[in-house]
Amino acid sequence: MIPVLIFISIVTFGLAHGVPGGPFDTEKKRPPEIRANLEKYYGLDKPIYIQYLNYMGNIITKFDFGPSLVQRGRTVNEIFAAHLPVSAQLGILALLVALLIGIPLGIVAALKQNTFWDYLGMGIAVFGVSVPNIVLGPLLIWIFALALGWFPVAGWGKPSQMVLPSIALGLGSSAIIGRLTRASMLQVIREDYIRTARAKGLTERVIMVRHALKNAFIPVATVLGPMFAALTTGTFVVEQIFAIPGMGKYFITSVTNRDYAVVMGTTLLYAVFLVIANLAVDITYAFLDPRIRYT
Amino acid sequence: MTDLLQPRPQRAGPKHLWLWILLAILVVACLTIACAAGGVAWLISSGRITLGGRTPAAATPGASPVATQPSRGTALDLRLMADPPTTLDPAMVEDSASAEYVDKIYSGLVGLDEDLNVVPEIAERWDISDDGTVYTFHLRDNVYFHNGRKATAQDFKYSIERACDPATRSPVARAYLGDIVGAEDKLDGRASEVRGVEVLDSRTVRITIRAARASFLAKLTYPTGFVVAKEVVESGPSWWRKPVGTGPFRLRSWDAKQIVLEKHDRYYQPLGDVRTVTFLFGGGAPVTMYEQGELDAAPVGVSDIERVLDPANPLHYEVQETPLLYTQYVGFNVRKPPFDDPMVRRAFALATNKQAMADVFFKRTRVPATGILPPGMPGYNENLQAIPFDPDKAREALKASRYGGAENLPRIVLTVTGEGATNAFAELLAGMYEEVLGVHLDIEQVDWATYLQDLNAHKLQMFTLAWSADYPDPENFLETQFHSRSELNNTGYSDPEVDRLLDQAMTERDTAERLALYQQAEQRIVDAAPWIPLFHGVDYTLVKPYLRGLKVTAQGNYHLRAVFAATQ
Amino acid sequence: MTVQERAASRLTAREQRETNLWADAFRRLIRNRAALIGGLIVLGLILTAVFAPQIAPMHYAEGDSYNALTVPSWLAPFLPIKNIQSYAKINNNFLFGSDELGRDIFSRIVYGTRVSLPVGFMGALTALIIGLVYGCISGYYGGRVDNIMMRIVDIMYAFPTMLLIILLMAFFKSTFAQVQEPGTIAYTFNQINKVVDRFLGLQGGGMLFIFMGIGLTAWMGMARLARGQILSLKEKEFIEAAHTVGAGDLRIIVRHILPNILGPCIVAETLAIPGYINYEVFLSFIGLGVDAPTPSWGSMISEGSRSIRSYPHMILFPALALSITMFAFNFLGDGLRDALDPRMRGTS
Repeated sequence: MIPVLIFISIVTFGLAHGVPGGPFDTEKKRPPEIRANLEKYYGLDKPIYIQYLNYMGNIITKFDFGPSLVQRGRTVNEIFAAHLPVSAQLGILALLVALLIGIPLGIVAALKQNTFWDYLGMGIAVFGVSVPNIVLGPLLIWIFALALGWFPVAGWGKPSQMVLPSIALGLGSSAIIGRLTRASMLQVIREDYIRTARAKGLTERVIMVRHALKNAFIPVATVLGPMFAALTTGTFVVEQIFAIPGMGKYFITSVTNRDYAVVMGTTLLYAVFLVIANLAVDITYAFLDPRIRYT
Repeated sequence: MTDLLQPRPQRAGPKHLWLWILLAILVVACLTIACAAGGVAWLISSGRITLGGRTPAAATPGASPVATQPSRGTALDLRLMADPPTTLDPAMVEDSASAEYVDKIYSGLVGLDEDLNVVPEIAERWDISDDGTVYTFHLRDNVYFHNGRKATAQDFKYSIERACDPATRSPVARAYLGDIVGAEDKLDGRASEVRGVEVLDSRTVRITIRAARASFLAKLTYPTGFVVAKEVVESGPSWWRKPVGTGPFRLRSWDAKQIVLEKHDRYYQPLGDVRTVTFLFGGGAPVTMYEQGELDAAPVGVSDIERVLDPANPLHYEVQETPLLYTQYVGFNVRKPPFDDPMVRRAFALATNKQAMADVFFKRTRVPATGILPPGMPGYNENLQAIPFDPDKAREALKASRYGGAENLPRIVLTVTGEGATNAFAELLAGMYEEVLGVHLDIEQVDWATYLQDLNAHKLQMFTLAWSADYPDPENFLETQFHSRSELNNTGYSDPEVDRLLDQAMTERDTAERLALYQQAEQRIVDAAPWIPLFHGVDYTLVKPYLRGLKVTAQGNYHLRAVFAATQ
Repeated sequence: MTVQERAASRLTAREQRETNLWADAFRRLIRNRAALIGGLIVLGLILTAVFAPQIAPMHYAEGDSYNALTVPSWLAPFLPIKNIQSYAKINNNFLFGSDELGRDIFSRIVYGTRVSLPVGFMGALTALIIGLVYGCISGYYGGRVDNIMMRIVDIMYAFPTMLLIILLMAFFKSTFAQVQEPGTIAYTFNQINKVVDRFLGLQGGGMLFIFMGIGLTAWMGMARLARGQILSLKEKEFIEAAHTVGAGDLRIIVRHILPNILGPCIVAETLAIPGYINYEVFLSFIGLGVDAPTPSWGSMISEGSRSIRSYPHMILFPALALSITMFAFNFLGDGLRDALDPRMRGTS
């Protein structure tokens, strides 16, 4: 995990600093001495590897991502504190949407395999996978905000403002969960122990709830971690469309403004997040299947 | 990520009860966090719970501003949309997004009224010495910081010296305060104080400038000259997160979503009915939010302008039109071929159909420009001889150039920045020159930071940009952009006669004479065509009919000092 | 081919089985109605891209400024907007209406296939080539090589893909896309990019950089898949047979292993195509994608979403085009997978 993060930080640092134009290029040209002064203050006059080492040193020893280069006087930690919770909320709500839609969809489709319900469910799943959130967002706005007027078009904070973005972000994942639930349900209900249960004369309801559902959820549970990570780190489009002040929207601005500190910090933080999520999956597998050992 | 989301083969038996529990916990946790976050936000925003004894941020207005028409004298809670500031430290402000808030939280010796005249602010009056170099400001007696302390002449000396302190690293102090005697010494670290600022008594401050400069007062209206409280500034490097000023509004809260300002009760001038102002960040869809009653005022963009101005749409009664101190132009690098040939520049200028572009592309959000100075700027010349749109003359001019025609011109690159509308506009321009002159332009699109770097390095051959005035004085357009020694002269234009006129105007004390000098200079520049001035900006803002006095300033910020609830 | 090798390859009975396998697969694919429709749509899209100049009534950059923002008459009655007749031009000049510059939206959508499809296919192709080569080397040689190479893949996987693509695009755009002095690397890239754009019949799209951005972030999954396939094949008798008759490593990989693992790899990449198309749409949406005036469905959606209240036709058609393309590739991909491996049917 550590070498992974070191590699990521080097690549990001290199890319961010390799882009021409610095954070101090503004429309009103600054006199060179002010520029030099600013660069000195932020340590940008030092050789690039020293800058890198200083930066990483501060993160490791003090968990300090340094000052933002554009938002003068604000630290990257403060920016995270302001914007990350919004993206995390959005990610959690989207995951919730994915579960609430996906699981019932998958179960119904599996239990009524090859009936109208199955096709309907899987049709919805294909819709969810195929319609990108870049289309889904405006579509939801058009129907529910403009035509019906049920929800506001933009913003974040009130529950009513959270509904549309969460659906726009979560629907694609609900399709994945739906398909996954269906597939594992189908696999489980063909297992021997289900047949045994049937043979014992248990009612179908008991069999499904006690035995089938429980086991069918295991593969679903294992994707939740990475899915949550993917949703939280993939909020760019939805935040842009719904004008949500989250980290994704801020990151895009930071790239164009050359706010190296924010770009680096976000990438590192998201990478840690993804690494942990993947690690969690591997550990889960190790528990589930004794033949796999995490080394 | 893709393969993680694929199912992996499972060998799990029914014994993994713990996993079930894990899943349940996860779902419950998600629900709790989401509900808690949402619920708290809702409770706060709907005013059901209050924080710190005050009605918090997004109080009543969002709920139903339309339903309850406020009557005169009612406290107003405005909801507006704006960009987040990069700083709230007046010495550091250089962008209009930050200026929006800093103008409301702080104030200085002098200010601007709606018509851009310099008016008394903290200084109730001032005297200027005969040679125009010594300004004596007499302060009001009832000026208080938001923390309750009285502001005195000493605070001004401190504020100016702090802005000029190299440790402050102000990017703009030299430009706005550099005229003051001793300011440069302080900025360069050669002096510990600014000699030109003297405290005569607690209500009198005397500022001496190096040479008579007619634009000095106008420059003082910029945030760099605003007064800050020493004890607050010295409380720590992020003091400006909780700013304390003397302005009409004080900061109540600031987070990722919004800034809330509230009325400063001890402000030294009468204020309107505004109790709080909430500035929502993040340009969603302001017009739609306005129509849904979520905003009290909203800027109208090009995509909505026709629908909003449509006489059949009741909204059109609510639109306010404000000319902006803003000129959009095509710039040429006059040191690089082919634009080092004045005839080529002239040919392009003659081939520019500004009216058509303004009508078609910008709908009515721009007015075609004749000269460089926008209307509303002192010194705006109605009788300026502009280069007209004339396709035949344009082709003749190109023939008369040293290239003799379109076919011999070298490759011309038009560099643009940004996305969306900017590009479409560049395409429109290129199409026009292709049609009229038969010249093909290559459009290159780079991001803002690169663009600025190349612009400052004089690398761009042909570019399109806009200049917006920082203070209402022709100097801010003509000298900054066209004086051969100006840092911001991006075209490389240099004319000794223009330099002479500008230098003379800088010190001329007779206003009429001074403006006449600027007009002469402007005419010479327009004729030489380092710029093709294209448009001046016009701002269209929707304002709810229950508000009176809500204006947009010529710099594009909200003017909120005299907003009253309208009587029906 | 030596006699020994021929014998070895006969052990696999490859030629014989392969024809049957592919023919079977094709038959199954044709019988799958959704996949068939998806395939036909994809075919139609490819033809649209190839014959864009013939299909589109106008060039994508050509605008009729006096007919900007016209709403097609057939659509206007269905738009639930009051007063649309009084502020918007409604006429029959354009099938899908026109945008802010009076450009034909239909033509721009047609030319947009020249952005979306190449991005999808080039993304898949790049991923396939890099991934296969990488995975083959890693899987075939095994041991320490495998260990190191797979660790690198793990590292790449930890990169937040979206962030990396955004960074890469910002880097490419500002480093390579400008006027440069000949002789530098940036200049070379700039020139290659020009060739790519010219080949696609677009003026200054910057397509190469999008290919590079997507290709550089897309190959890891393929590398893992290829390696896994090889590990399972490596111990098979016919490979050992080829070894014993003295065939070289390269020969074994190319002649014996690749043909056997290509099927699943192609399926995986077909399923990944919508993702690549989506990346480009996303990049153009946030302004880091193709350069104007090249029409990208993403930038059209972005422009349209700003005018959604007044001129909904601007977003409607590009959004539809994008969604249909996504459906088609998903159907086709699912169908291909089911056809090549019927046991997988019904799983996701």
